[in-house]
Formats: sequence, structure tokens, C-alpha cells
Amino acid sequence: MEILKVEDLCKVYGKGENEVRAVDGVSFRVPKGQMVAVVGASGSGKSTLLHMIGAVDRPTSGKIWLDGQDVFERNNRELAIFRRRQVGLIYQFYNLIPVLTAEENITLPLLMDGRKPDKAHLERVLDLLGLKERRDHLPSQLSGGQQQRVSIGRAIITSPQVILADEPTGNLDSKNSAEIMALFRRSNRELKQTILIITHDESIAEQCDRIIVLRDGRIVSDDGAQTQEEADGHAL
Amino acid sequence: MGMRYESLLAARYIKAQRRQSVFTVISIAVAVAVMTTVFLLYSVFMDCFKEITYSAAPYHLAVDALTEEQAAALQEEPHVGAVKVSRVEDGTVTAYLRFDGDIGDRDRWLQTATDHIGAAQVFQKNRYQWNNALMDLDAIGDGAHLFRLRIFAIFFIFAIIMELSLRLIVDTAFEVSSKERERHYGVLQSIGATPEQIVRIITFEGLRLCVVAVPLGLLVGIGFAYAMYYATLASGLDDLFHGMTDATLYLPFSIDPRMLLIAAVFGIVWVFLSAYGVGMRIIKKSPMEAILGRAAQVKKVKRRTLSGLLFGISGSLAARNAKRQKKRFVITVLTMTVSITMFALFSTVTQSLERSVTGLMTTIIDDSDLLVYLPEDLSRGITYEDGIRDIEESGLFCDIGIEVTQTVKLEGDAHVYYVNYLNKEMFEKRFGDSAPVSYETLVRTGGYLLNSASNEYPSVSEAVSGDTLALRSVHLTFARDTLQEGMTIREYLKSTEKTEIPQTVTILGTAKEQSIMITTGCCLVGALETYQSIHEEWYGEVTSMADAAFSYASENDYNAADHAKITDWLDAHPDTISLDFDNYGTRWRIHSVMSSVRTGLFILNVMIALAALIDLVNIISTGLADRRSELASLQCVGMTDRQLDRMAMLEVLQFAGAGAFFSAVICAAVIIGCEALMTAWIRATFTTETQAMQDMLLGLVQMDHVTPFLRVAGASVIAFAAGCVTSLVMLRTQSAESLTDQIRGTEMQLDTKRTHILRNTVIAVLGAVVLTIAGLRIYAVASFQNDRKEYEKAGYLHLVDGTDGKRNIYRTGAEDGRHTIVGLAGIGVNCFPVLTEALNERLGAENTLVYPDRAGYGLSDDSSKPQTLEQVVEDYRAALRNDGLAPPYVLMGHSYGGYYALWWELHYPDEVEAIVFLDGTELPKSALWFAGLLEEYPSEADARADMRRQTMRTWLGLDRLFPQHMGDPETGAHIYGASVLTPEQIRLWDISDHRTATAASASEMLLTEPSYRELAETVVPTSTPKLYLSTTPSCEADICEAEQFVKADREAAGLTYASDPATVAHTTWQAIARVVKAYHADYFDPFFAQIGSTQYVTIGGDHGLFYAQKPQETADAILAFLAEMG
Repeated sequence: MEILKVEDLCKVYGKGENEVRAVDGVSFRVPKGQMVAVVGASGSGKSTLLHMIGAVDRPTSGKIWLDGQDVFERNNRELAIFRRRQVGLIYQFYNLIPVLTAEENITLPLLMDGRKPDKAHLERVLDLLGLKERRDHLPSQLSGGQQQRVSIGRAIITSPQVILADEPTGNLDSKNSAEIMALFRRSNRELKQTILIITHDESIAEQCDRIIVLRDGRIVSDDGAQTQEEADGHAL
Repeated sequence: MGMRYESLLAARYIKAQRRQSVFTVISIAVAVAVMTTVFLLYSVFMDCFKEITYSAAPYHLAVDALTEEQAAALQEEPHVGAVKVSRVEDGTVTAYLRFDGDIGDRDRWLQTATDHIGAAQVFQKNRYQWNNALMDLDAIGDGAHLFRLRIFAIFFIFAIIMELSLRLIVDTAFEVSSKERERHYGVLQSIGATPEQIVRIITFEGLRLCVVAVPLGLLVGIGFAYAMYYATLASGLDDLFHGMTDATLYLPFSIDPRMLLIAAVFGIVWVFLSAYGVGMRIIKKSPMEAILGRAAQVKKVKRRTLSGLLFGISGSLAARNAKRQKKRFVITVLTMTVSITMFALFSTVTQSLERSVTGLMTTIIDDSDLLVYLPEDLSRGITYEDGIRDIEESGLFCDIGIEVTQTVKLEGDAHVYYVNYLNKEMFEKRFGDSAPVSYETLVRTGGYLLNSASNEYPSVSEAVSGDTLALRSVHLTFARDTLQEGMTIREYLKSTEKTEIPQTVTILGTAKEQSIMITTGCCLVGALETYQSIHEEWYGEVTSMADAAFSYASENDYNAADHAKITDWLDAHPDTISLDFDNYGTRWRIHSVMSSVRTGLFILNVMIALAALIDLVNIISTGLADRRSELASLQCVGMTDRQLDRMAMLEVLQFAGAGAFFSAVICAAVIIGCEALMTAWIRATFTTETQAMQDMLLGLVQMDHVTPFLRVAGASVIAFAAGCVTSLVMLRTQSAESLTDQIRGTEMQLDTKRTHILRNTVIAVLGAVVLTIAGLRIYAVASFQNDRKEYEKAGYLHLVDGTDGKRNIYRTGAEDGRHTIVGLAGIGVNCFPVLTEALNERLGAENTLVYPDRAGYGLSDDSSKPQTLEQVVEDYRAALRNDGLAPPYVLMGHSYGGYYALWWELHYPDEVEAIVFLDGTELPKSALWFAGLLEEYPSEADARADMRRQTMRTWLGLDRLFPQHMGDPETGAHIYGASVLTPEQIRLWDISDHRTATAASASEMLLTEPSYRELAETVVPTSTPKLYLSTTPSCEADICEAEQFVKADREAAGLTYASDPATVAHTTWQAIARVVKAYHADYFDPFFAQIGSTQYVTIGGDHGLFYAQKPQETADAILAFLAEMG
């Protein structure tokens, strides 16, 4: 079953001679539970693509459907709620709120939603992330890997339909990288989480179900595309 | 629920960035403080204004020509709060009304009211005066409520203008704190915070800071307002008011809670708006922009700049940066310009205003300080020359110009023409350069000049043939034997025979008077010497019109002390000098007002400067914080710290330079504009004046061209210095982070140590307040114990139990005397037994004397019970019983103490053997004659407020720290009673005044009116013998005697007494003789009729101290009375 559909997505910066097409007519579909790697050189438009899917940036043209709904048909407020409930964003530099503890950072999207975090669920997430001992620490008291785990926690606490990770291991050493990837795989397997990871690290891409390669804003290879259409075909 | 995390975040941010929070708190506090100051000053201004208006005329409406019944009936008219009547010579009374509600249409009310009471003629014949000023202040009558509103509007507009500039401060404070967190807000948005939630977080933070900032601002504002009030009074304004209303005014400083509320609400709304605005700005950025910290796109830069040429790469960068953030640059320069300009111009403008006003006055009216008329009194042999002699001999004055005016007629013309005989000073003042001949020629030839400024000039000049003019002088001959002392000129003239004598005079030429507005109308001008030689022959003995204009010789500025000296001198010469115009007084008032205005503006300046400085610091810090990563990049590519510093300083220099430039331009524009306007006005108005005169006027409006610009330069240098310090501090703080962190703009450094800045500040402020109060109170209590010790040493302390708490009873005289005399003090007399020492010596030989201090008085404990007549008397009785003093008593009540004696006798007739009233307060024949508290206060609420204030003062021991004694304001010498009391007695008196108002004495004061009513309704004549010792004067000699004491007191205190007691007594008696006679009819007669069997003896002296001033007479009267009683 398809959870994410991207159709003819374009993002253009500047005008006339200065025009830069960061993302240029990208289309693909992701079925639920797939773990997709988007790879490409620096400037190939992969981050822009991810940000548009995460609704923190608006496309110049094209459409994105998440769970069958057009993302950009929403107004600003609805977009915020969409981000809060349906996608989880993870950044290379964690982007935690420095004045909040690990636990507070993780539960922040719930708090913003006016929901009380479910104790058991929170314990499960903390356990999964291995942060039980560190829950009351401020980000500045955590290592890079721990901080990234907190930001993953923040992304998965609301059980979003898609997790979007922008170079999640880009700032980490190999041991921490491996741990984070293991985390993603576990959550993909155990929670049937759909995950989109941006990376330029081939070893990370290898661990995913599918690899999309971008160059100059266009998809140059997508090893899952065929399978996808077939899958659709089967479904129909 | 939804609020929880917003407030959580706000609270965390406040704590995490505590330096920033303190900064924001200070900014908000300054804004609130300014608001508070302005609004408080409004209420203080209104209070003072009311106090002044009230003390000048304590009523809303005065109705003349009424009968007493009509006056009484007025009390029943709607909205009438109080009626006070006073008897007029012709037997009618004047009723002074105070309203307690709005009467609407004034005329209609008065018409209806006078119809009701059957005094319609009052309205028809306009026999009434509205006291419009007080009506306006109390918002009574049509349209009066608009008055307060109008003044409030002025203050409000002022506050808003101030506040608009302060808004920038609060704004930038929020900008700075949110700038650093823009990324976080981006993250919050990216994980799903709605824009409203972001705005709410920022707003929350602002409001939370208000919790500390607003109270702090209110406190600071109160402080500022008080400083402004104090400084304004200190600069001479209170002198001015005292001088104007001729009453000892206490201009109150009160804190109106409503004003504080307005300021607080304003502050909070302001903060809300600022925070909201910043929030709205932040959410305009897309989350990604915020997260990536993309600086605003740079569109265009100037390749070559002056700063670049001068300072190389640092300069070039600085120039580009400043231009890049145009909005910020403009705002900073704008605030700086406003504050620098205000600073530079305020004092210049006020100074030149004062100069122009006084200068214009000098030119237009007269440059002399005093214009006087020199009266003559033939019967006493006083001539105008005596007046001149007095002026010259005083040694106080200079530039004495003299002018004698006489009348002549032309041949064949019945019209009267004036001739002025001037002395040299006056001649030069009036004609100066325009005279065709010198004054000496005028004297030598005995000739005259024609005054071309006179309206009569054409007809007189026509009559001149050659250089001679034929005229007739009007010679007056008095019938000497009909002259009587005290006759006025008018009366003289009635008994005068007029003869016209033909004369021929030489005309030496034509001159034109220099005065602009006033022309005297005289058409002939001669020398005073000429007059002296022809005076008797031409005009007879009397000079009916002689004036002098002269100036005060001292070099000092116009001030109250010199003015008092002049007034005293004038008072001392009532026979020879009569004041026409007191220009000195007017100039002194202008000077006082101007210096007050200047002081006020100075404090305002300080506040503005403070605000501008905070603003600048804020803006520079945001500017640097904003470009953190950029600066780090510069360092990465090899910019040294020094280069960075230089760049930052150059940026500040641009701000300061632009500020200085624009301020200078505005100053120049204002100065040139003002001058041009004034010049144009002068040229258009004074078209007929001479060139010299115009030039002089133009000179007046010249402003100081140098000082404002020096101030601009100074202020700019200070601003530059402050900016540099801020920049360097910011740069140092930032460089504590690693360069990569700075470039990435990652997490700001947080102090992980948990601090409770908010809580600590609240605790610190509250603690300081509580500690101060506690400290003061402990001091007050401890010093009171100390005072008791002082009294104990002097032998006055003897504490017994009263109905609640200890009462001090001083016992003296015979151990078991024939009579037990109980002294009951008047209101506010805290050391009655000390003041009566001289009396006690004389009374004590055969009698026992007892002075109990009632609650809150002298050394007795205070009491929180309402001090009704009953409470006080029962307390007295309990104390006396507990001290083993059995009745009967002779009650000796001074002033208000007499009321207690009356109540005592009424309820315990067996205990009271006799009553001695020491000038006791009477019970007037009707409520109409009793004004009670309203005599001193506009309303009961005002009285209560003042009592609260006074009691608080005493309670905190401020009476000791800042004594408000009745001494000389300069030397502090105790004047009152100085000649009749010993230094030790005065010392004890001063000590007792450390408790000027206690709960009990305040309660007593507020209950005076009900007490009066109670007695007025219940007291009946009794056979108990009563003696009334009075100080009400019965003749001029009585006043003279009292005045002698005033003189003696002043001299004993080492001060001078300028006037002469006899003269003062004479004038006073003239003024009050009628009142005194009426006083007997209105007060004493009905009083004695009501209480029965009273003997009245006039002792004389002063109400407060006559028993010490004339102890022998007082004691003799009492002893005789007691002897008669048996």
C-alpha cells in the first residue's frame, strides 16, 4: 500500500540567468513500511526534496500526497499540525531545543498537540533509544550520538506515517552511525515505520530496501521504481 | 493543557539566557518607570494644584448679602456639602458653599437655590462669586469634568510620545533574545508547532518577565517621580506658591494607585505588543530559513565607501554591514537623534525662553524691579521727597528714576495736559538717545521738551510760538485748618481752592519716548530740579502724583529671600511708599518656574538618555548576534581579533556619526527656525519702533549657537563609547565559542547551572522593601524608648495604666494641694507639661498639678481605638484613678482640650469642680459657623489621606530622620517660643515632635467634627464655675504685644525681624477689628450661653503659647478664679 506519492516536483531558486532548478521534475512512490535511501552528490537537491516532503519548504510546482492527501493544499496552521502528527524530521545537526531535557525534547510534539504523553509508550521509546539513564539531561550534556537518538525519539514519538532523516549519521563516528542505523532498521521492522534517509554514505544506503539516486535535481536511478509499479499492478 | 509547554519553554528560556532576561527586564522596567513617572506626576500635579487653589479660596461658591436664616437654608439645597458663613459689616452674612456633587448648570442651580431661600435678589444683582478653579478641579458644574480630562490628555499625550521611543527599547530587547533562538523556533515549527504557538511562546516569555519588570518599573517610576517632585520644589517652586497664596502650604506627594494601575497595564500591553510583533516577524520566515539561519539576502553593495578608503577592509565591511540592515540602522539612528536632540535643545530652549520673556518684559513694560507711588500727607508733613529719601537711604536699590506729574492748561483751552518732571535716571530711561538736548541743559535752562509720542502732541506743538509756549498752571491752595490726619488726597482736593496762573515756558525741542507699549501721555517734559524750584509758585504745596521706578541693587538672581527683604522694606514704609508694580516678584516667579521646568526637563533628559543608551546597546548586540556565523567566517579566513574589533567599532562610529549629524541638523534647524520666526514676528509687530529698538528686540531672541552643538558632540561621544563597549563585550563573549560552532550557528552556550533569577530578583526586591520597613520601624521604636529616657532624665516620665496601654502622667506642684488641676493638651501639643513649666511654678504653691498624656500623645502608648470624646475621657479617668488621684478635679483644657473638659463635666458632674479654658475651642452657635476638618482639607477623604501619610511617617520614624519642624528653613533654628522657653524646654519639645502623628492623634483629628456635633447637641448650661482665658485681641495693643513675641522669638533664634510690631499691629487691627467684634457675637456669646456661668478674661499673646508668654497674668487669673470659688 502506497503511503507517499511525489509527482513532478520542482523547486526553482532565482530567476532568469540565475535560475537554479534544485529539484527538477521528481516523481516517485513509496509503499508503507519501506526504508528508502536518497543518495546524490552535494547540491543534487536531495535535502531540498526532503524538506519539501517534510513540509518545511514549499515546492515551486508539483505535488506530494501523503496517505492519499495533498500536503500543500493545507494552510500554514494545518501544515504545522501535519508536520507534528504525520512526519518526523531528523537533521544532521540534531536541532534539539537546548533548554529542554532529553525527555522533554522527545515529548515536545505531543505537548504541542496538547496531548499527555502515554507513559508506557514513552518508556518503550526511551528503551528503544537506550536513553533511559539520560532522560533528564540537557542536550549540551549528551554526546553527538545520544543527541541524534533524542532527535530520532522526537521524530518517532508521535508514530508518524513517514520519518525523514537528513544525513542522520553525517556528524557521527562509525560506531555511533552503526547504532543509529540499527535503530532505524529496528523501528522499520518492529513498528512498520516508513523511512526516507538522505545520505551520501554508500554503506548506509546499502542497508535500505531501495536506493534513489539524484543528480542535478533529477532522479537518475531508482532500483525500487520498477518493483513499485509491479506491486501496484499486483495490487490492482 | 496546551499552555503547559509554552510556559515551560518560556520559563526555561528566561532562566537559560539570564543575562538577556535581565536586559529585557531592565528595558521593560525603564518603559514602565517612565509611564509611572508621567502618570504619577499628573496626580501629584493635580493634588498640588488643588491644594493651592483650595488654600487660596476654600469654597466653590460665595453668596453675599444673605440673612443668617437664608444661609442656613442653603444647607438644604441639593448637592450642598458644607456651608460656612461669615458676617459682613452691614449686618448681612456671606455664605461659603462647598458642594459634594455635580450641580450641573451653575446658573440654574443658583437661581433655583436663591429662589428657594427667598434671596432671589442675590442672583439678579450678581452678589455671588463662583470659585471656578476649584469647581473645575472638583468637576462640579457644566463642562467642569472636561477640565481634568484636558490636563490628563496633555500628560497622556506626553506619556505616549515618551513611550513610543521606549517601545523601541522593549522591541529590540525581544529582538535580541529571540534572534538567538530563531533557529529553535524554526525547529519547533518543523516538528509541528503552529505559528500561533510560536507567538504564544514569545508572548508568554514577555509576560513572565513582566512579573518582575513591572513592579520594578513602578518602584523606579515612583522614585523618579519623587525625585522630579522634590527637585522641582527645591528649585524654588514652593517658594513661589507660598508667596502667591500667602499661606503655609504643604504641597503633597501622593501615590495614586489608579495611576500605578494605568502605568502597569500600559507596560504589560506594550510588552505584549512588542513580543507579539517579534513573534509575528519570526513566523514569517519559513522554518527552513530559520533553521539554516540564512541571513537576509544582500542585494547590492556599494563598492567604494568613505569608511573603506579610510580604514581599509575593516572599514569597508563595516560600511556595507551598516547599509545592509537598513531598517535597524534607521531605527538606531532615529532613537539616537531624538534623544541627543532633546538633550541638546531642552536647556537651550528654556534658557532663551526665560531670557526672552524677562527681556521682553523689561523692554515693553519697564526694566525697573519696582514701580511705586510716593504718597503725600500734608497733615503729617510727609512729602514725596521723604519717599525718595527712604528709597535712597535703604541702600537696597539702584537706578532710582523719579517722575512727578502735574497738570497745565493751554491758553484758551479747557483741556488738561500733563507735564512730567523727571530726574536724570528717569529721563534717560524714557528718552535716552532721542532727546535733542542733554538733561543738564534741561536743568540749566529750566526749559521743556515736547513728547512726540503723546496723543496731545499735535495740539500742544501748534500752540508753540517760536520756542515759547504760553500756558496756565493749576495752583492748589489748601485750607490748612481743615486738614486731618489720615485724609486721602481725594479728601484734600475737596477742601482745595484752585487758581490758574499764566506761565510762559521755553521749548527746547521734541523728543520721542522709547517705551513700546505704554506711553504716559504727557506732552511736556521738564527736569525734576526745575520742578523743585517752581513747584510752590506754580502748583502749590502738594505734589499729587509722584512715582519712582528703581531696581534691586543686589547682583544675585531673582530669589525669594531678596523678595522677602524688599517686601519687608515696603511694609516698613507704609507712609511714604506705596507699591504699584512688583516687577521683581514677577521676574522672580518667572525665574522660579523656569528653573523648575529646567530641573524637570533635566530629569526627563536623564531618563531619555538612559532609554537611548539601552536602545543602542540592544541594537548593537542584536546586530552582532545576528551575524555570528558571518563574523566567525571572517575569522576563519584570517581576520584577527583586532581587525574584528575595529570593524565593530567602525560600525558603531557610523551609528554615532549619523546620530550626531542628524541631531546637529535638527538643532540647527530648530534654532534657525525659532530665530527666523521670532525675527519675522518682531519685524511685523513692532513696525513703528526705531531701528535701535528693533535691534534690541532682535537681540533678545538670539539663541545660544554653541552650547547645543557641544552637547550634541558630547552625547555622541558617550553613545559611541557605550556602543564600543557593548560591541567588544559581545565579540569577546562570542569568541568563547569555537569557530565552527559559531559558523554553524549551533547551540548557544547555556549555563547548565540552574539559576532562579526571577525568583531571586523578586525575593531581593521584596526583601529589601521589608528590611527597610523593618529597619525603620525598629529605629522608630528604639528611638521612642530613647525619647522616654530623655524625658525620664528631665523628670517627666511616670507611666501608669490607661484603658489600653501605658499613659504618662506628670505630677507637679503641692503634694496634696487645695485643688487638683488636670491639664488637658490641645491638638498636636505633645509636651504640654514642659510648655506649662512657668505656669506650673506659679500655680503649684497650693495646688496639685497633673498632666496626663492621652493615647498617642507625648510619652503615652499609641492606641488603635477611635479617639472619641468618651474614649479619651474614660482613658484620662482610668489613668488618674490608677495613679491614685481622686476627684474632684479642676480641668484645665487648652484649645481642643476644652472639649474633653466639657464632655467630662457633662457626664461626671461630681468629678469636675471647675473648668479653666486656656483659649479653648468654642462651640459656635450653629453648625454653619463650624468648618471642622474642612477648614484645612478640601474633603474628608483628603484629610484621611493626609492623616494616613502623616501616621505612616511617624510610624516609620521618618519624623526623626527628616524632621518637619517649624523652625527656620535655612538655619533650622527653632523659632516658635524661642524667647520664652529655656533651651532645655525647646530640646524636649523638639524631641516630642518625633511623633507628630500617631494612630490615636490621627483618629482624634478625624473625629473633631462628630465631637463638635455631639457637644453642640448635648451640652447644657451648668453652675460649675468656668474661666475662659482668651488670646482674642480686644484692641490694637493686644496685637502689638503678640507681635512683640514674634519679634522676640525671631531674635532669640538669631534671625532678623524686618518690620515693626506697632506698624504690623496697626495694619492687622485695621483688617481684623470688624472680624474680632463679630467673633464675640458669633462664637463667644453663644458658647458661654450654652455652657453657663463663665468668666471671660483676655490674657493676650499667642494661642499656642500664651500661658508661657504671660505666665504671671495667666496664673493670677486662675488663682483669683479658684480663690473666688473657695
